[in-house]
Amino acid sequence: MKKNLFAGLIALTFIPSTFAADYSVKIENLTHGTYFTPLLVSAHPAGTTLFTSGMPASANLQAMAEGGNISGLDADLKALGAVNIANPASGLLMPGKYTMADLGNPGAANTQLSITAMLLPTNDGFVALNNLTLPTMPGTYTYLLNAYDAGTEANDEIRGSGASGMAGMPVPPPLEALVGTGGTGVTTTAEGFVHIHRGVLGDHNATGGASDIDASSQRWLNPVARVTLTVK
Amino acid sequence: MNYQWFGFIGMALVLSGCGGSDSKPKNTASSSSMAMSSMMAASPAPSSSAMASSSMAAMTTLSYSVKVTNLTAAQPLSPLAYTLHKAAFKPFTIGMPASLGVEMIAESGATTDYIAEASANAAVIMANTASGMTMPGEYKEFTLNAMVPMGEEDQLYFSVLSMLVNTNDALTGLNSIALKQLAIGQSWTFNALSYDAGTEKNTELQASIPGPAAGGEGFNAQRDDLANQVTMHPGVITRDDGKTDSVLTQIHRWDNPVARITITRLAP
Repeated sequence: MKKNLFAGLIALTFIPSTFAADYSVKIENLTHGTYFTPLLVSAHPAGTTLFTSGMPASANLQAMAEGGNISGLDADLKALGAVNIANPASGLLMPGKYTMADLGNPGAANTQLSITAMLLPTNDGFVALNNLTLPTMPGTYTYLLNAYDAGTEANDEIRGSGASGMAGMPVPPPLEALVGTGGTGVTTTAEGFVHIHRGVLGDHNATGGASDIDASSQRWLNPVARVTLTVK
Repeated sequence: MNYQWFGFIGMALVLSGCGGSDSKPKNTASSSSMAMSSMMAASPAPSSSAMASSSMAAMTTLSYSVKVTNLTAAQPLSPLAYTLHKAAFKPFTIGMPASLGVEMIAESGATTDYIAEASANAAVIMANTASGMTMPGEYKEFTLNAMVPMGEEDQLYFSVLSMLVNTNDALTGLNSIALKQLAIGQSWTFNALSYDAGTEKNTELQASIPGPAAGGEGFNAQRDDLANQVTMHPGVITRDDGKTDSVLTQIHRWDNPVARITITRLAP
């Protein structure tokens, strides 16, 4: 017997059933001090993907990763017949907190599950479960999610814009008091492709230094989220 | 839970001897370690309430061996506090405050309060400590034998907790692993992650870290972390990465997983 659930992968050894199934999803922010922007939870058809590691991000993934804007990804997936739940936490999902998304029976064509949100404070960091084939056997399934970097924006780690292509990090109100100011910027180079996030650097100078991120409270180690999928 | 299950069928190391000092005669444990010769924990007596209340029921014996390997570079693991329990007991929950016992383990490595907490819970079959540190690169093994009422074998969970001692309040272990599908002779191996108890700010100051890297304070009742809740651990910064007042150096950093834990079900 070998079962490997690392990084959200599960070996599916049973035969897909033709029976209808109801799905509910619990998403936990496991981090010590990183916030999730509004989540997109989607049961969608096979043949599409939020991103491919090593490849450039789509414009709509970029908008999500740089500014937390899920409307483009939401529309893309809906156009394919997906059943989506946008923003189940009604705003930011705080560190240590969870939210629930009830997908019901998404229909026979929507065989895949994807979940994503931007990580704050980062430039273009995001959490993702990408294109998981939904299990059909009733039960409870657990997946651990990693942090990715969209590769579309330099990780300068200083305050700036959440608009695509604009430098810097968006700092919405709850983060306002937690993110520093006056950083000179960590780097000016975007990576160009989606990859596992190397983590943020941060510093301990709230009004200067290279970074506006606080190293002691806003770093993370993977995994950053846990998804518990219940199939009924 | 990040887990890998391998079928180490028949590879269990069955350790000899039962814990003579265990005051709960039917539930025994023994342990050994690469580094240390004699490991029976002289820990507080596990609760007998669960057993007493079911003393009329026919009992069955379940036996497991557990191996914990420290995967870190320089984070000794404190004595392993382990419990065999039902679903109504859970050592900790992400996003909720740590119990006093979990705080004690995470800040100081002391298991007495946690074992007392667990033993007082009717859902706990046995609670014990495998004494001694598990040093980086080393492993510790212990066996446990529990008498369980017939028909309740399917309700058992295993948990184990240990501190990363060169930290403010980092811990690792397994949190409520359902054992019902583990057959006799089979093993499961888990990659254990690092958690932050959320009970002490990660200052990394000499005065606040009890491990050999610092020799500072262990437990302090004050809860001054970002939020009073258990989360994943963000890792340590250390003075080599710009936290100039940290007592830690680059060698104390880690990444997940921090321990590999194998549970083998033995023939009773």
